[in-house]
Amino acid sequence: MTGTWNLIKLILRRDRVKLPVWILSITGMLLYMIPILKGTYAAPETLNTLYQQFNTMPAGRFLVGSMDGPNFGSLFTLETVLWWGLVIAFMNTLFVMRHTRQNEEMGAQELIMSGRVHRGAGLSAALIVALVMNVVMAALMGAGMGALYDGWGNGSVWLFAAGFAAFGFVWACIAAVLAQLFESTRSANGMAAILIGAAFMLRGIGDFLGEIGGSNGVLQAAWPSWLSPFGWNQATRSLTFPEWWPLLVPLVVAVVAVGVAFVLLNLRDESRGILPSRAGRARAGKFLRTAPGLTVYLQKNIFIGWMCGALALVSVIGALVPQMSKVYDSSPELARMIAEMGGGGAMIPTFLSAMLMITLLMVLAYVIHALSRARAEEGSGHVENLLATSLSRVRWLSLHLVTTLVGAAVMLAISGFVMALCVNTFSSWSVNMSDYVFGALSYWPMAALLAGLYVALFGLLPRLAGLVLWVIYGYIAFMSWIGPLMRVDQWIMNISPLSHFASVPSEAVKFAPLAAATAVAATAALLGFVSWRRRNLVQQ
Amino acid sequence: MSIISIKDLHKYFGKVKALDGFDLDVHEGEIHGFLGPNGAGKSTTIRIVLGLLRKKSGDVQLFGQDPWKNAVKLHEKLAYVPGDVNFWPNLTGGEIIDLLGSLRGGLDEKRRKELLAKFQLDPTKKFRTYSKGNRQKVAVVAALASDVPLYILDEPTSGLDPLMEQTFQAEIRALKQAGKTILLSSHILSEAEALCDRVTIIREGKTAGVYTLAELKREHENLQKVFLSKYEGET
Repeated sequence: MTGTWNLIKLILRRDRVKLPVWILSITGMLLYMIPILKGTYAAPETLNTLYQQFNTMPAGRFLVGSMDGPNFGSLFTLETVLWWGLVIAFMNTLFVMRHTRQNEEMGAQELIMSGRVHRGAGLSAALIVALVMNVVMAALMGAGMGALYDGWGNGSVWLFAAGFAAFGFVWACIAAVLAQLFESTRSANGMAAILIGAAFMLRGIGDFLGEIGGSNGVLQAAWPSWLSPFGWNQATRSLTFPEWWPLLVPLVVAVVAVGVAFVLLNLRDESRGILPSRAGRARAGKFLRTAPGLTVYLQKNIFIGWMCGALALVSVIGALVPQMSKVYDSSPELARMIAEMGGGGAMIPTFLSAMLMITLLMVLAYVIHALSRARAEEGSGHVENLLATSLSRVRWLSLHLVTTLVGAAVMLAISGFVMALCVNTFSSWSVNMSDYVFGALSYWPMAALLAGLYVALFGLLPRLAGLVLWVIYGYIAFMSWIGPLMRVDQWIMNISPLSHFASVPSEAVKFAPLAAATAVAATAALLGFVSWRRRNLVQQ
Repeated sequence: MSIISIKDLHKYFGKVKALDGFDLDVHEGEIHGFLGPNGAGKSTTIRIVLGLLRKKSGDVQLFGQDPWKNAVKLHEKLAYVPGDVNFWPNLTGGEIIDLLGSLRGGLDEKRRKELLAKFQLDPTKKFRTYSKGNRQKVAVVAALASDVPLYILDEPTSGLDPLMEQTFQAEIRALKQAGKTILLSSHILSEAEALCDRVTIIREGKTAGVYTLAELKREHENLQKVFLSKYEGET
C-alpha cells in the first residue's frame, strides 16, 4: 500500500524511545525472574510444596493457574505467562490505538491522508511495527532464556518465546478492529481493557473448572480457557510438555481480525467510527450545571467500568463455590491433601476471603484511575476554565477526592453483598451477608490511603503522581495476590500496607492498621491540599 | 477607577523570564486592547490576573484585590475566554455553556438563546466534533451569556470567519454601551483598532507602550505603524 513504508518510519521516529524501553524492560524483567526464582525455589522439596499448594488451593488455581509438576519450568511459566501477558497485551493494544485511532482523533491522519498515501497504509504500518515489536521481544526472550538456564532445551525455550509473540500480536490485531469501531481513543482503549480483563478472568475460570487427567496427568483447563489468548499461551506448556499446535489458534484469530479491520476501514469515513457518535442534549441538566455534578459526570464511566469488573469477578467466584467439591473429586490425591488441610468446610471461607482481597485490588485500581482523571483535567487545561469561575481550587480537588472515596465505599459494599448473595444462591453453603458487606468496608481505609497519597503527590509532583501510585499499587497487588502463595519473606510482604490488614471475613477485623492507614491518608491529603493551593497549574 | 492594575510584574518559568517588569492598567468601562506577538507574555499575564499562576514579584490587583488570594470571589465578577479553547470532548456545546454559566453564578437565558442564534452555533453537537471556529464560538457564547462587569478575552476571534467577526465586534460594542469592562488580548491589529479605547503593547514581558486610540487618530497615526515600530530590528 502506498505510503506504508513512510508511515512505518514515522512510527519508529515517534516511538524511538518508547519502543526500546518497553521491549528491553519487559524482557529484562522476565529474564531477571530466572535467577530470582532459581535462588529462592530451586530446591526439589520447595518446588514440591509449591506444587501441592498451587494445585490444592482453589484461590491459587483461579488466580494464577496450576503447576504441571514440581519442576522449575512449571514454576517459571506460572510466574510469567499471566503477568507478563497482561503487560504485553496492554502494550500492544495501546500501541496500535496510538498510531491509528488517536492519529485520526488528533487530526493528524487527515493531513497524512491528503498526501500520496493509501487509506489502509496507517493501519498496515501500525500492525507491521507491532508484529516486528513482538518478534524482537520474543527473540530477546528466547536468546536470554537459553543463556541463563540450560535445563529447558532449545525447542522449549523458542516455543515459550513464540507463544508470547503470538499472544502479543493477537492483541494488536484485536485493537486494530476496535480502532475501527470507536470514534474516541478513550472508548477504544476502554473496550480493549475490558476484553483483556475478560480474557484474564476466562482463563481463571477455565483453570478452576479444569480436571487432572490426560496422558501427562496434568491439569486440563476447561473450555472457558479456550476463549482466552491467555489460555492459548498456557496450552503450549512450553517448558514442561511442549506442544506447538496451540499457536495455530492465535494465528488464525489474528488473520481473521486483520481481515475484519480492513473491511471495516473501507466501510467508514476518515475520523469516524463504525459505531456512530450521536448528537447530544442542547441543555445541561440541573445536576450537570453544578461542580459536584460535573465531577460525578467525569468520574462516572471510570466507576461503572471498575464496578462491572468487580461484579463480574465476585459473581464468578460465587458461582464457582458449588464447583469446588467437584474439582477436587477429580483427584483422590488432592482430596486427601484437602482433608489434611481441614477439609472443604475450612476451605470455602479462606477462598472467599482471599477473593475479597482480590476484589479490593480492583477497587484500589479504581481509586488511582479516578483521581488520575483530576490530574488529566489539569494537564489538558480543562481545569483552567473551571478555576476561572467561582469554583475554588480546594473545592475542586475535594470534589474529586470525595467522589472517589464514596465510589470506593459503594463498590466495596456492593461487591461484598453480591459475593455473599451469589454464594448463598448458587451453593448449599450459607454465609452471613453482613459479614461480607462490613468485611469489605473494613478495607476502605486502604482506598483512603492510596487516595491520600495521590492527593499529596498531586500537590507536590503533579506530573509523577500517577506513575508513583501505580508502582505502589503494583507492589501491593503483587504481595497480596501471589506473595502468600509464593511464600515471600514476611518482611518483604510487610512493606505493603495491605499485608497488615486482616483477611476478612475469615479472620476478625484488626483495628490498628485501619486507624494507621486513615491517619496517614488524612495527613497526606492535607499536605496535598496545601501544596495545591500554592502551586501553578501544570499542563502536560 | 482601575478594574485591573498591574505594576512591575515578574514571572519566571524555571529560568525563562516570561514577564519582566510588566505594567497594565485597565479602566472601568473601557475596551482595553492587549497587543503583542506570540510568546510575548499575554496569556501568562491573563492567567496571573485570574489567580491561576503565581507571580514572582510585583503588584497585581483585580477589582482592587489580590487575585491569587481572593480568586473565587473575584471570579464571580468576570467571564473568561481562554486562548486555547479546550473543553470536555464528550459534552455538547450547549452543556458546556450551561455548566460554565452556572459555575460563574448563573447565565441569562434570553441572552443565551440570542447568542446561539447570532453566532449560528448548534448546541447539540459533542465538543470534539466541532470545527475550530465552532469551538471558539462555544467559548465566546459561554462567556458573553454571563452578565458580569468584566470580560477577559484571550484571542477570542482566532478561527472566526469574517461574518462572525462582525457579530463579535457588535456584541463587544454593546457590552461597552452597557458599561462593561473588556480586556481583549489579540494580535489582529485591525480588530483592536476597530474596537479598543486604549491599547497596551507588550514586548518580551515588558510594557512597550500604552496608547489611546482617539489620540492616535487625532495625530493621524496608525496602530499598525506604532505596533511595528516597537519591534523594529526584529523583522
